Amino acid sequence: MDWGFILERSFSAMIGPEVVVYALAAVGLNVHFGYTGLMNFGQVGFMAAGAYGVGVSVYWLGWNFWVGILFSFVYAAILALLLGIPTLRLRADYLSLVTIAASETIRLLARSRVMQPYTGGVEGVNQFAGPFYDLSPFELGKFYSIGPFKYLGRDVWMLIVGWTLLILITLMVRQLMRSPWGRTLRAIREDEDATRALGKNAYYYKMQALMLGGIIGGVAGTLQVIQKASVQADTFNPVITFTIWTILIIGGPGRVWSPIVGSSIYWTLIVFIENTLRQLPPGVRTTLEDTVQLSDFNIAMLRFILVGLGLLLLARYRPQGIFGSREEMALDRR
Amino acid sequence: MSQLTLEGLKLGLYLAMAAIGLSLIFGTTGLVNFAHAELITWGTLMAYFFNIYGLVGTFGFLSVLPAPFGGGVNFIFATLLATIAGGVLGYVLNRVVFRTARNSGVSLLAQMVMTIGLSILLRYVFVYFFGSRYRVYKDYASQRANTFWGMELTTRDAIAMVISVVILVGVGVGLTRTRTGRAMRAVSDNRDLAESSGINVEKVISQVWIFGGALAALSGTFFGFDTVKWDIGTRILLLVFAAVTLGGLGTAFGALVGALIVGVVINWSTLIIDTELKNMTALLVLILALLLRPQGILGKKQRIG
Repeated sequence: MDWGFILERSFSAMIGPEVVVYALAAVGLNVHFGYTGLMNFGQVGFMAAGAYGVGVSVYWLGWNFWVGILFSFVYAAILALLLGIPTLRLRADYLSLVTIAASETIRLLARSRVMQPYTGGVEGVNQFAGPFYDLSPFELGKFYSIGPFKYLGRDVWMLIVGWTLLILITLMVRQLMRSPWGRTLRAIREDEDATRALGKNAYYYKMQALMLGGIIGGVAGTLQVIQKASVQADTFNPVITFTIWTILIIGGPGRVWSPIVGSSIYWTLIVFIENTLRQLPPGVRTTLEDTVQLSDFNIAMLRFILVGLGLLLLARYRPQGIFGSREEMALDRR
Repeated sequence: MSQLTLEGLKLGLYLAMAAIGLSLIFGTTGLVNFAHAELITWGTLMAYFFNIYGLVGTFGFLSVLPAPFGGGVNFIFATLLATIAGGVLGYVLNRVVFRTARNSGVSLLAQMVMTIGLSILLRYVFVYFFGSRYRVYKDYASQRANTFWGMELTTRDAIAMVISVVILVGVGVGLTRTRTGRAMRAVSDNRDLAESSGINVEKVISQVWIFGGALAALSGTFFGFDTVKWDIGTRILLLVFAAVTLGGLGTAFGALVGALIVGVVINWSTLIIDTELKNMTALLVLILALLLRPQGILGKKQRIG
C-alpha cells in the first residue's frame, strides 16, 4: 500500500475543487434551511439551473461566456420563484416534495432526446469554459506542489477563484444574517406565526431566502461545470442534494462557516476511504471481493451508502451537527 | 386513446397500492416517508430473488438444493413471499428506526431527513449487492399481448390488474369495516382523539407500516414486470408523491383516487409530449394540485397549516 499517495490525495481533497463547489451549494442550503428553516430537498436543481444556464447560453445561443454566467444566476432565481410560489404558503414538507420532484424533473428534461439540440442530451455540453481558463496565470497542464497539496495548474486557478468566491459569499451571508433582514429570517424559522403577528410578510421573506440560496446554489453549479469543463445531466442526481445536506449537518446548520468545515471533512474522509480501499494489497482485495463483493464499482457506491447512513444517524442523534449548538437548530423544533 | 387509458389505469392501480401506505404513514405519524420508494424496490428485488434463487438459494452455498429451496419458486409464490418480506421490512423500519426516534422526541422534520438518509442507504445497499444491470424475472418475462376491443394487454398484466383491483377493494372494505382499519383511519384523522378514546396508537402505527410496506412491495413486484432495476422505486416516487398530494396527504381513499388520476393523465399526456417526458406531467399535476387545492381532493383544510 502506498500511504504517501493516499495521504497526498486526502490532503489535496481537503481544500480541493469539490470542497469549494459543495461548500458553496451548502452555503445556499444554509440560507434556506439553516437560517430560514426551508426544507429544500432540491438544491441540485439550482446547481443544474446555474450549470445549464452558462452551458446552454454559450453552446446553443452562442453568447459570450461571461454573459452566460450572469444568466445562470437569473435562471436559478427564476427556478426559486417557480418553486416558491405554490409551496411557501403551505406547511414545510410541501416545499420538500416539490423541490425533490423538480430537481429530478430538471435532470430528466435535460437528458431527454427532445432537449438534445439545446442541452446536448445525455452527452451534455462541452467546450464552453475556455474564456475562464484563458485568464489563468498558471500553466493549465502542469502539476504544482504546494506543501502537502498537489494540483494541476487549471485546478490551482480554479481553486484561487473558487475559494475567493466562497469566502466572499460566506462573508456576505454572515453580514446579511446579522442585518434586520437576516434576523427576520431567523424569527421565521423559530416561529412563523409570531413573526407574522409582528407585521412581517413571512411569504416574501421566505421567497427572498429561497431565491438567495438558490442563486448561491447556481453559482456552485456553474463553478462545478467550469471545473469539469462539461455539463452532464447525470451529475445532477438527487443524491447530490443529500450529500450537501449531510455536509451542512456535519458542520451544523445555521452557522456561518459550517458549510466549509462540513465539506472539507466530508471530502477528506471520502477520498481517504476510497483511496485506501483501492490501494489494498491484492490478497486482501481479492478476499474482500469474494466475500462482500468489494468491486471498483462498489467502492464508488460506498460513498453514497455512507452518505445515507451518515444522514440517518446525524438527523437522529446530532441534528445540530458536530460543532453546532442546539440553539441554532431548525430540525429541533416543530 | 383507449389503449392509453388502459395503460393509465394499469399504472394507476399499481401506483395506488404504493401510495396508500405512504398516505397512511403520513396520516398516522405526520411523517412524509421518502424511503417508501425503497419499500417498492424491495418488493421487486425480493420477487426476483425468490423467483430465481428460491427460498434459500440467495446464500450461494445452498443454491444446489432442489427447486423450491435452491432453484427458484414460481413467480406467483415469489410475489406472495415478496409481499410478506415488504411487511417485514416495514415493521422492522418502524420498530428499529422510527418508533425509537418518536419515543426520544426527535422532531418530525428531523425524522423526515432520517427517511431520506434511510432511502439513500437502502438504495445504494441494493445496488451494491444487486448491481446496476437490468434484469428480468424468470417467469412471465415476455408475453404476447391479447387484443380485444382494439386494446392490447398481456395476460400477465390483466391478471395483475385484477389482483390490484381485488386488493384495493379489500383495502377499502378493510379500512371501513374492520376494527383495525377503522382504528387506522381514526388515528389518521385525529391522533389525540383516537388515543384518548382508547386506541393503542403505537400498535396502529406499527400495523400501518406493515400494511403499507406489504402493499408497496406488491406494487413493486408488478412494476418489475418489464425490467428489474435497483432504483425502480425511485423512478416512480415522483408519481407516488403526485398521487398522494393530489388525493390529499393522509387519506387512504384520496391516495387511491389520486393514483388513478395521475396514472391516466400521465398516459394521456403522451398525446401531446414525448413519451420520454411523460413522468414530468406528474410534477405539473403536483404543482397544480398545490396551487388550486393544496389539501387535495379528499383532504381537509386544517392539514396544510
